Amino acid sequence: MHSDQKYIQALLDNDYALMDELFANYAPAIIKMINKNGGTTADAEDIFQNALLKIHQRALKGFVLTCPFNAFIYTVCKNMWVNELKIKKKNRVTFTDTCGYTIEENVFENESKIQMGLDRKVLLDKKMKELGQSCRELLLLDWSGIPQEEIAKILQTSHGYIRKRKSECVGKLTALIQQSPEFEDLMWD
Amino acid sequence: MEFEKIERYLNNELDSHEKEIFEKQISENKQLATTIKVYKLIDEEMQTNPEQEKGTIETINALSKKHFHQAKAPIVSMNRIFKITAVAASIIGLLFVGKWLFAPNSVSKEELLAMHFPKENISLTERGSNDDTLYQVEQFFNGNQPQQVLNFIQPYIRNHPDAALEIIAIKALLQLNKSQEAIDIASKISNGRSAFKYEAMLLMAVAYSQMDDWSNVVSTLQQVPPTAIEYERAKSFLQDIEHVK
Repeated sequence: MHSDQKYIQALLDNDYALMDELFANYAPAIIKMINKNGGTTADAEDIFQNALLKIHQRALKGFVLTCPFNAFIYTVCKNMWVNELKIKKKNRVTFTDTCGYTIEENVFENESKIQMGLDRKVLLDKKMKELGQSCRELLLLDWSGIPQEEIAKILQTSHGYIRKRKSECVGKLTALIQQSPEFEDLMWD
Repeated sequence: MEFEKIERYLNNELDSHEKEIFEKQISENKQLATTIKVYKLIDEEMQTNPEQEKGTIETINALSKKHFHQAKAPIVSMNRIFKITAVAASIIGLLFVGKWLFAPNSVSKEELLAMHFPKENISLTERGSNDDTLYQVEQFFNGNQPQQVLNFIQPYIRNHPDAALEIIAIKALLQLNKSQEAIDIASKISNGRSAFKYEAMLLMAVAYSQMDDWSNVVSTLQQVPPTAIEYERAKSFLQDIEHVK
């Protein structure tokens, strides 16, 4: 674990003071990088916010930082901006400046963990849409933390049926994921 | 595949004999072992806890305003993460069925509210990620199905109070002319310290308008401080009300 894990913990703890420090220390470099590469300050804001949200989402699932936060957030934001430029079909930009940050191999490993988790989530969301409406509704209610007894009331059925149906629905989703071409690349172990 | 048994196994609900047999099956069947791993990861990955995320999202939003917005005027009052795209027509304006006419050369209540509270479609899913619960709410809301929004969002909010989603519930209630229920939720938010407290005040003013309770519309809007992003909207609405006979 890197000492900059404190910023990941700040996101988890909703620590205003430390998150303020994070913004003060790292937002300017992201603004600079995006302004130099075809984007506005508003674009930088979107990217920075989304990057922090994604990091927070993965931190909730156990992500631990093992590299300096400056190079890590820079790399996450840079890759998000490159993807954004691809969507906007603006490819004629070159990223030559790293704002003085040293981008070592472990930065890419950390960024890759974030991206892998996000890609798994994207695949899951995609496959969720292939389930029937009743499965989707049941799983969304269950995963949002609503007790199964209450879900049974909402869906006007028994708790026993909800339990059985949930396992069938997750089972269907598991099969869909395992059959997808992306499955092997996303490291499920 | 016995998914119910997998579920019970992962929840540690098999008795010792069943568990022993099942674990033997797992050790002999690589396919079953992989399926259980994937099943478990899916179940863990998809669990959401808006309560855990809500505070951090609000802080990111507030700090973003502080560090990025210094040089530019705010465009929308709601969290950028929950982007709102204004469109031409009015939802809220359409809520009003009663006639409320202004003096000559003035506008009707419907027109006034449509002007000050134009329809705002919502996009609750942040770019690059999909939250299916939010996606469903978004679809119902943008599809003008307020009752469906409430059916889905209310049990969700009960378990995970979230001011951003409560704001959407208020808007759905306003669409259904359930003004008092909207006020009940909005006053709770506006009395708190949420980033949405002044957004809630504006909506409370809309609800009082629906009830033709204009003194409360005025007193509610007057509580929006000059430092709030919503101040200009509140002030502008107040000014127009003052011209009404």
